[in-house]
Amino acid sequence: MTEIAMELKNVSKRIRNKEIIKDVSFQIKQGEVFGFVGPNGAGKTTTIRMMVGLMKITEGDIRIVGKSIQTDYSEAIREVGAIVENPEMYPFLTGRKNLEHFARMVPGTSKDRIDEVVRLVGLEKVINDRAGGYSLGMRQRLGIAQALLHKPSILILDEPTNGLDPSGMKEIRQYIRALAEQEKVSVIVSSHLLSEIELMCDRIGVIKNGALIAVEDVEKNRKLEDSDISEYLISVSNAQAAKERLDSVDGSLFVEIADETTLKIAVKREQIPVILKELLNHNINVYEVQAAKGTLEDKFFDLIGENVIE
Amino acid sequence: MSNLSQLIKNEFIKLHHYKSTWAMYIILAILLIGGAMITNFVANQNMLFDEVFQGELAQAYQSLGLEIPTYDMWAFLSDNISNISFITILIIVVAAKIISNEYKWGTIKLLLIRPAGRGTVLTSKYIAVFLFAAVLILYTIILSMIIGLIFFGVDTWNPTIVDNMGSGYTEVSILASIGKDILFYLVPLILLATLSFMIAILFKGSAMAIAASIVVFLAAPVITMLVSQYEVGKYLLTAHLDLQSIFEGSPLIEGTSFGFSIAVLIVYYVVFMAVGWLTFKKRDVAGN
Repeated sequence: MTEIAMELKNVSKRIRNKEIIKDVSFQIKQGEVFGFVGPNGAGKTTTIRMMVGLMKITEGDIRIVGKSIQTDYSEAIREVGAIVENPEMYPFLTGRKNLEHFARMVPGTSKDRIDEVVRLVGLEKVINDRAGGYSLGMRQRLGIAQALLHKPSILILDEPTNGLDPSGMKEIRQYIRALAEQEKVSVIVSSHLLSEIELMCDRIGVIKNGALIAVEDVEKNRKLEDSDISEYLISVSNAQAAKERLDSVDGSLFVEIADETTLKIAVKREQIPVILKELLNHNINVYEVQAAKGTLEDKFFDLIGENVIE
Repeated sequence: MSNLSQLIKNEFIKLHHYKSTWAMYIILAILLIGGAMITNFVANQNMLFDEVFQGELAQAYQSLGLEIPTYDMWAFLSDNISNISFITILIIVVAAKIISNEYKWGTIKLLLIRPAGRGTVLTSKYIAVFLFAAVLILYTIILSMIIGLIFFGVDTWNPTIVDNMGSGYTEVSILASIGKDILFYLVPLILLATLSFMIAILFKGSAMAIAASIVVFLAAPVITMLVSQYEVGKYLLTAHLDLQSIFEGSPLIEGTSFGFSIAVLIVYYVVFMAVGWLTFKKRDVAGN
């Protein structure tokens, strides 16, 4: 099992009796890039603010590498580097002075580490200029540098590609992927643009009106789109037994349990009779086979309604 | 602890990147040099500007059989301790800005998502404000001594003067007199800087904090006069900021003792601190 970097357990947020976040639960694995998508005002930033302790959690808990952000704040936040909303820095300080400022706030962050993160985000040329004169892309990178200073296990980036031009977006995307793969950092990226998120994330959580309505595996969806594989829903007598049966035959099949009597399976069309035979031969009754929705984007629009996406 | 000192260092670095901070040092220097030039032009040979205006004090010298000392560096320093009033206004501004600027730039979010925690961040800012006040006061003292020495020279290194130390006029060392004056000037500085700090936290902005605190500071005697006929008047902060008058036995409101004033001031201070800290620790940091 991969280790869990962050876990949200039944998190709710109420402000003046209005429920802004409703019972949100999900986990983020180590080294994974997790996308957090939803229309503006769905509760992405509020959830992120609760993750970093800027907002109190009304109900539930958030654990970072096992430590509660509510009861073990210092220990938990040490593992987190974040940009919340815009990458704001002290405009009158140079890039380097800004980093030195934040380095002083976490004991044990060395001068060498500052040079290291500056190189990592590619700001060597402008690091001694005042941050007030930086372009949005440079500020975004300085923000990431600031978040990485204390070697966090989790990087939280709120709308990191917002306001960037296409080449800047691409750069940030590649950069985030590299971080996750090379430094084993888990990254949480929020955006209201699905297309953006899809390109850099392993999994995507969709939030709407404060509720998490779906968590999708991008890798799986990508495979589906690239091949003639489609997703099917199969009604069976016992989903658990059916999954075990199919896994033992072919471990590479994407088999998921949707509910007690429904299997979700991604296969080529011609494999279906084979699978059904396999199930029936082992006394698992099949009642219905149904084609499921296609691409992630279709699903996304399906989930939150096309007209609310910007 | 070492983390707190790092945070204080951060605040000091930020503070000294503002042009307005350097303007404070320059304005104080101009005030002192200008004061020395005017004093040099109008002053008598002795420490008293005007024996009619300061007749009581002149009489005290006479009755104690002492000569009024000549105007030298010590007299100039003693006169310029009143600059702490001006420093109070500067510190009110600094106390408000040290909070509001973080909200203005949005950097408050980056400050608070660190292991240090909110209480430590706020404490470091509060300490930085008073450390800066100490720097300005020390700067004023040292500069006064240097300018005083250049303009007026020095007679003896430890002169005695006549001053009211709480129980009428007596002969005291000038250092004791200056020390006493500094302590009394610090009372409004501490209270009003804390008030400004608290209001800045409540409103996340500096305008209200600076305006309210400076009004309380400058209009304290007037406000006190206006409410002096009512019983509540003596529980008002403004009635106790001029602790020196109360100490010397002439309070703005009849019937307030030195001990009572100290108690009222402590209550106000504790309330300002509690409101500020609790608000800062509990409040959600949302977009603004």
